[in-house]
Formats: sequence, C-alpha cells, structure tokens
Amino acid sequence: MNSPDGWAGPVQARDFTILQEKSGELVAVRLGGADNPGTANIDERVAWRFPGDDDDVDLDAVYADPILDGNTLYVAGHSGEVVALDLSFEPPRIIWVRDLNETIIATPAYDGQTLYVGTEAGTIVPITVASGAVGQPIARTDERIWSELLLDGGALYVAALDKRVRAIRPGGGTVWAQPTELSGAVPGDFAIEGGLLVVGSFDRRLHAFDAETGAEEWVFDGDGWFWARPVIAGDTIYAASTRGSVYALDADSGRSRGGNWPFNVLDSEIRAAPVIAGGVLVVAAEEATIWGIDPATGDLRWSAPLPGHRFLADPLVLDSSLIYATTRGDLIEIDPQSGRAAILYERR
Amino acid sequence: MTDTWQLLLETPLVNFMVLLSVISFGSYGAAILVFTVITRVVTFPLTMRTLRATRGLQELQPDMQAIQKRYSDPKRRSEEQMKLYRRKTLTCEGGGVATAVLGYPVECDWKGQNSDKGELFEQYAAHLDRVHSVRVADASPRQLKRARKAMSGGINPIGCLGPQLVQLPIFIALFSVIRLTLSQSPEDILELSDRLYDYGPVQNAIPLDTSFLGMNLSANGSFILVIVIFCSMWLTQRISSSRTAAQAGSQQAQTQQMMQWMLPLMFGWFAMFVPAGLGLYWAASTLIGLVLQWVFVGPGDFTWGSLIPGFVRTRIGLPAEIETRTERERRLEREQRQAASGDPEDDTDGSEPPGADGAGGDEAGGSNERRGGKRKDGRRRRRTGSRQARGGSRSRRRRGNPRG
Repeated sequence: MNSPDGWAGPVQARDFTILQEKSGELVAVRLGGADNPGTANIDERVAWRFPGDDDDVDLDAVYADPILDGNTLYVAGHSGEVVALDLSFEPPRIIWVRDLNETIIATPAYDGQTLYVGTEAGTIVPITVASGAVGQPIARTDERIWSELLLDGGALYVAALDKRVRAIRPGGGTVWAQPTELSGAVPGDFAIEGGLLVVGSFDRRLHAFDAETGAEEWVFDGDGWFWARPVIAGDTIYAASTRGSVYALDADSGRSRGGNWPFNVLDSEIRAAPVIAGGVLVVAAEEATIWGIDPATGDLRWSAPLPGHRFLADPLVLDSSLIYATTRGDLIEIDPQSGRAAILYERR
Repeated sequence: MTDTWQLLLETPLVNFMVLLSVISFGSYGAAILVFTVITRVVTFPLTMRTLRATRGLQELQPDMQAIQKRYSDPKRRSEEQMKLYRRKTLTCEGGGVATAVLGYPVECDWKGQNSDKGELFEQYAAHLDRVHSVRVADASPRQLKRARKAMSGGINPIGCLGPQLVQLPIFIALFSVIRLTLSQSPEDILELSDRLYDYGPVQNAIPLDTSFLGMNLSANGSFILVIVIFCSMWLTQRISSSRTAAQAGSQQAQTQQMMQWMLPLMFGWFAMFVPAGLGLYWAASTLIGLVLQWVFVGPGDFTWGSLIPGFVRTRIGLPAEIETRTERERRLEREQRQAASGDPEDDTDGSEPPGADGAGGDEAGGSNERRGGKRKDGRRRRRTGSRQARGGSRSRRRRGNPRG
C-alpha cells in the first residue's frame, strides 16, 4: 500500500502562493508580477517552508485545501493535526495546533468563527478558531468523510463513504429529515448553486438534490466514478469522470447537452475539479495533459501536454490564469484562452 | 510484460475479489476466505500429487534406511536404491516419486514385457484388472489410455514442483491484488478505479469493508494471524518431518528440526509486515493444507502427546520419552507375534529389506533382528509387516516369485 501523498490545492496569500511541496510540507513561493517581480533563482522565490525544523508539527500529508482568512491560514493534515498559522510573519508563526487523533482527508468548512472538520472516523469536529478549542463532534457518519464539508444558507452539507448525504445545522439539529441514500459512496467534493446540490459518487452517477429538502431531482449515469467536484455554470452542470469523460448536463433535467458532449478524448482519470475561466472549460487529466474545451459546444479549444506531471489537486483560479500544483510539488500556470503553460515553480 | 501481467492475471483477480466481496455480503475478510477455499479446490489435484509424492517418499524411507545400512559399497547401494525407486514408482500412484528422486522423467513402455520393464507391465495389468476388470489384451484403447494416465500421473518432468510452480503466480498476483483492493489512501483507490471492469456491482462495491473479526485487514501485523500462521506451519512441518523417520542426530534430522522452526518463524515474521488481509489468506491456506495433509496422508508418527515437553510429561506422570505411532505399531505387532508363536525372542518387525532379491549383498554389519530378511535361525521370516510389504509379497507370488 502506498503512503498517502495528499493533493491539497494551492492557495494565494498576499504576494506568494502556498502549495504542498512534498507530503506534509508546505512551501510559500513568490510568483512575481508587476508589483513584485519574481527572481530567476528558484531558491530565492521560496518565502518559507512549513513545518520548519523547530515546529513540532507532523501533517503527514495534506489532502484538505488550506483555508485562508486574512493573515491566518488553517491547515488540516492527514495525521489529524489541525494548525492555525499567522502569515504576517515569515516564516509563519503557529497560533495553535490541535490533534484530533483521526485522519483527515476532507477540506473543512469554515464560517469565520468555527472550523468544521470531517474525519476518517466519520465525525464532524468543531474547532473555535479564536481559541483553538475543540468541541464535541456535532455529527457522526457511518464511514469515512472524504468530501469537503459545505456550508450554505445555514446548513452544513456532509457526504461520506457510507453512501449517504446529510444536511445538518452546525448548532444542532438537521435540515433534512433523513440522510439521502445513494447506491455508491461519495468520495469527492460536491457543488451547490441556486438550491441545487450536485453530488458525484462511486456508483458512476451524478445525483442532484433539492438543497432544502433533500429530494432527489435527477440522476445521471456516467461511465466512471465522479470524484472531481462538478461545476455549476448557469443552467449547465459540467462534471468529469474517472474514465476521462467530461459531461455537460442540463441543470433542470440532468440530460446531456448535445453537440460534442460528452467530451472524451482524455484517456485518463480526472480528479482535479474542472473550472471555467476566460470562457473556457479547463480540465486537467491526471496523466500529464490539461485540456481547454468550449463550454457551449464541447469542442476542443486547446490541449497542453505536460509530460511527467500528474494533476490531482484542484486549481487556483486567478484573474487571468489558472495555477495547478502537481503531485510532484511543481506549480504550473495555464492561460485559459490560449492554453499556454508555464512552469512557475519546480521542486528541486 | 507488466501490462500483460496486469491484463491477464492481476486485473481479473482484482475484479474477482471485489465481486466475491459483494457476494460475501460486503465482507472482504469472508471474500478472502472464500477465495482461499476456491484456490485450494482448484489446485487440489496438484496438491494431491504433492501429498501422494510425500506419502510415496514416506513409504520409501524404511527401505532406504535399510539399504543404507545393508550396503556399504556406494555403487551397490546406488544400484539398489535405483531398483527400489523403479519398483516403487508405480505403487506410489501419481506420486512423481521416480522423477523427483531420479531426476529425469521415467518413460514406461507399458506394452513391453521384456527385460526390466516386466514389473511395470505387471503393475499396469494389475491396475487394469482392479479398475476396469479386464486383461491387457482385452482392454480397449480408451481403457489403456486411462490406465496409463492414472498410473503415470506423477511421472512428468516437473514432478513434485508442479503444484508450487502453478501456484506461484497466483500468490504473487494475490499479493498485489490485496494491496490494491485493501488500499486506504485516496490515491490507491483512484488507481483502483482504472482496474475495475465496467460492471455495476463491482464499481459500486468500493470502498471495501476492511474490518473482519475485529481486525483491520489493511493494517500490518495482526498478532492473532501471526500466531495462527506460526502454529499451523509449525504443526505442518512437525507432521511432515515425523513421516520421514530421519535418524536422530543425522543431518536429515537436523535439517528437519531447523526447518520446523525456521519456516514458521520466517512466515510469521513476514506476516508482521504485510496487510492482515494477506495474513488471513496465508493462515487459512496453511490450515486447509494441514487438514488435507492429515486427511489424505495421515499424521505419520505425529501424536498430540508429543507436543507436551518432556519435563511436563514427567511432572504429570507420563513417560518422558514419546513412543511414535510407528514404534507403537511395531511394538504391538511384535507382541502379537510373540503371543502367537510363544517365542519371546521373536521380535522381528516384519519390514521387508528393500531390493531383497536374494543376492545377499555386502551387508554393512548390524543384525537382521529389526530389518527382516532372514531370521537368526536361517528360516525365512513370516511376512507380517506393513501393507506395502504384503503387497510386494503378493506381487512376487503372482509372477512366480522371480527371486526364487
């Protein structure tokens, strides 16, 4: 069995980008720009690494996307340790560290005061960020939680590998009367927009629920697992499967759009979330290629082969570009209009 | 090569294991047990060949020892051993003994009635008579073919190695299959997605339930399984070594003693560092092998009492020395003979000296008391020995006792 590597997405903080350089180690890289040009020397681009030699922190690997709030960064490690870092210092100072003693894969939900951390034990543990106080679990699922916990309209949406989706009140109580049963486990993040909750599953289906009641709106049968977070753009939902297919579905009916949909020339798993940037649907296949697809027609706009790179982390969407962190710990910038790729940071 | 391996063996096995898990009510531990049983059933014919070969070797041991004692000339000893192997090969039906011992495939000219193949022919005729109730001359081609197949089952170039060679790829594939299917990290499960067939029940079964009888099958080093593997392997070795009746202090006995501890220790140690799912397979497979060995070959000289250490036996009032099964049988036979003959000195054990063709040979000292042949008074001793010895006797009588 392989040791966990983690696939946390990069985070933009002030004038640097933070990514997981190798398992359990974060690096802050200055990418440059008009106000703060980067240097040619890669070593000089590194602002800091965390944990440092003196930090008594072991993250093991980081799957959960770090959460940035002002100058504070919250990082949940696979080891079960949750860390609050003050980024106003270089290197950052640890505000607090809490060990939940359970493995963490899912990205926590954050409401500005409390982190809700889903664990592999199936518990949802609240942490008050001001004090770092760890509360009693507010809910418990029957299986591991890998999906990002999602806060929307006062409800906390939780999907787990126990093949159920729940909507609960963070303060206690439930939004839906019953958890909604699926025929497969939910491994990936889900999307919510306009009262529609879209969940991908190991049952090779995309499920859409009424976010208020939990009633199933429609189900779409795909060709593989839906692990990547779907994109809801107006009345269209874009979703990618682990068989390399990208679907465009009508948000009301769940039917596939016409034209060249589904787009399926990737021949590789898709775990990183597709995003729409610059009017292009950008999809990163695990194996070394990023694709630009016309969201209206499903036509291929461009492809950017990047041999030797694997893409599992969700991209960072900036004003005019996308930044992908590779499994090797490199940073790659993509121009969504042209598909031009540039390696911003290459791990030594 | 890697792709072919995955395509032909690993990936089908991955899907089969996942499907077994679905059939086993979602329990992957139960799926591993079912798979172990299936593997054992599929390889049962091969296992039987090994067990029969073991039994054949076991039956040869007394004769081998007798030859070693009887002939001091290495050349003559070797000739007698070869004769023994040739004669015994067909009695160990399907045992592969000839090939295993001689080191080359034995070709049997079943129709030939000439020279040294005459004895083989007689065995062949006996088989036809016993199984098909026909004489060789009257047997149909199909009966001849079946008899030839039945009697030469173990005589092939790979001999006893066959079962191990066939099972080896399965073991290697299973190792990676269990590693893949019991994977816990998201990366591993993502990798698994590429291996699963486009079949709903298989796809929907992920992730698999990795808990079984209080164990986490994906975690390394289940102490209970290590104990089970060690004990079952130790017992298997103990029973196996009890059959070969190596002389105490001999190199063979020392090797057996070492293997009895080394193999279980090695596998037990290895089980500490592999996922418990694989340990579960080993444990179940070893236990099934132990049962098969016991049922089809027997316990040899092993007795449960022999597991009690000597000092404990003394304390609880049992004799410190253990009488083996063979020793007990021989003692009882001796007592019966003594009771029947009224001669308290008649303590021959009835074992036929191997290759005893009346030539006498250059006996390497020692008395005839326990090895048979002729009694002290020169009379031919009564044949009250083992079934094998009795069979040999009938065989010789039927063909007119060529040894005179």
